[in-house]
Amino acid sequence: MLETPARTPWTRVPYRWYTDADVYAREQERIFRGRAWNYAALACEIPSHGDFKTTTIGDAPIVLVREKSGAINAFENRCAHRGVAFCYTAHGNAKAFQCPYHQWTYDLKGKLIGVPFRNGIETLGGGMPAEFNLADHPLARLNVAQRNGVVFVSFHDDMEPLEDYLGPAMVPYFDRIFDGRELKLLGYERQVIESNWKLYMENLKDPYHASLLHVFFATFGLFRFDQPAWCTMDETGGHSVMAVAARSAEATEATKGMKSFRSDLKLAGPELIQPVPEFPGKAIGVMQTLWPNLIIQQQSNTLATRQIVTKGPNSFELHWTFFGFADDDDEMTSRRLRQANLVGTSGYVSIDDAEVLEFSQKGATPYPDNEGVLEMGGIETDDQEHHITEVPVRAFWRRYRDVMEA
Amino acid sequence: MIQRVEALYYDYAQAIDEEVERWPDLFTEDARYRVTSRENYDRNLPLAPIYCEGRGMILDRAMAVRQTTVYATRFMRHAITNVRITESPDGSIAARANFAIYETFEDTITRLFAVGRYIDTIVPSGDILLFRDKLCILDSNVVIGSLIYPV
Repeated sequence: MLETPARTPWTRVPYRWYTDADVYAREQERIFRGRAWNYAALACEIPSHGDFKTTTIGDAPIVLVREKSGAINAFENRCAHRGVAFCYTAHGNAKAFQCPYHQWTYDLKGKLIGVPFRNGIETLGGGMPAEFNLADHPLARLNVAQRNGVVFVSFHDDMEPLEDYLGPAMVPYFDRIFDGRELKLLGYERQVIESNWKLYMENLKDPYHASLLHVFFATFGLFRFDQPAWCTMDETGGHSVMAVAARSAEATEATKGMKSFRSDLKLAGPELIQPVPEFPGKAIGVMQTLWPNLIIQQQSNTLATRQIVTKGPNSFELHWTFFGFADDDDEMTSRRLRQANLVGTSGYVSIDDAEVLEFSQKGATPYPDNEGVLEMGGIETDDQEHHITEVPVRAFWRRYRDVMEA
Repeated sequence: MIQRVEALYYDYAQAIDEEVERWPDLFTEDARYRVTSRENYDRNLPLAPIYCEGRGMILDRAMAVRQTTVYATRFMRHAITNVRITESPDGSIAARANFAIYETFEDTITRLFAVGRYIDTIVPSGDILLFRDKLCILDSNVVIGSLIYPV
């Protein structure tokens, strides 16, 4: 059996946690439908009264809709009658939601307002019992929290405010991108990756791999060990920031140890990686992971939320929502669109990650009793001022164990 | 003219599938090349997973497939059909076509990878035809894995 170091259990990861159906079911209950604020949307996706979109939290389909007051409501996409996922279009505008099966109808607050033939037909009979009360059968609502145009939902009834959930170490990074300016939706990318969802979270918490796996990053100086960089976590370990400052594409002492640094390669279209500074502070790239399903990406000037949607233990979907700001000029919008080539379903660096995650799943699946080792940068979970480390991954597993083993 | 345009499409398919280094040669110097999803196209959202302005960026896409990207070895096969054209007085050709792309790994059976349509502008350049604008719209909003090769 496993010999997990007792004091620092987060330095080991049993491979069954990536493949086991019972572990997966417990994650749905404890993590995604448990005590968490899950990312659900950008508010600019549903700007007007009646605008709705569907999305998925863990395994659970939900509907988000903006009501007349401007508030955003969230429901399980599940008719109170027979459990039908009643909303079967990805986005649109509705005055009310009507289930297609028996036409039970709900208002934008989720209240049941219509049941066809509730009183039967006078000459034939039928209908619901006299004591059937519409008010007892609303859609199941989720709690909603918003901060500066980002919408989070929770299945848990007693959530702390979003700001407390993020914690004082994470809020400033969140507000660095989402500073209150109006957001502009640029578009979506979606992909299905045949690996466990946690491998993706780990990937965005693992600066050690970035200079080694990603030839494009190393060669063109976007993310490299010899740049000023740091890793910051919240108190729980579940949220983290990987940040890097100042590009360098020249060969240095550090690049000698990097097979991924290819001094022979040049870009024919170098405008791809000519960023302009736009956010406070010295970081040029920040990846912020928020427990349990969100990565906020600032890679130079390309901005996106990456939402993890689980699809069983061996598969997940990644939903990318690219955005800019309503006050961007055309040149900035073009720059964001060009730089989007770096990331996403055809990203110069993201492809490597999606492929390697599938290799991880393939390698780990036959060996549930083996385990991964996480000791780069030490065995603890404190903040570090460099990227030759796996410390945010260790912190993630500390939170994971706290939630799953509680 | 339709035969010449079809010949360009067939050459395009062969270039991607068998000699991707040659694929940028089928574009003009100022060409735009984009691959997007049905969802982005239908909603007029400008984001495209592959977004190249000018042949430099197109060349970099081909370079990345060969030099910088880490991926499991695979073989792509494009089938391009339903080519229709409209000729303009300025000599350019508006063309539309459908595509199906199959993907084969070293150790698996072949699978259908993507289906969609092209909305293109083609121009004569000397004796040959080149793409000046190529928009590839994937029918599915969800990519199986990643878009590694051009579409």
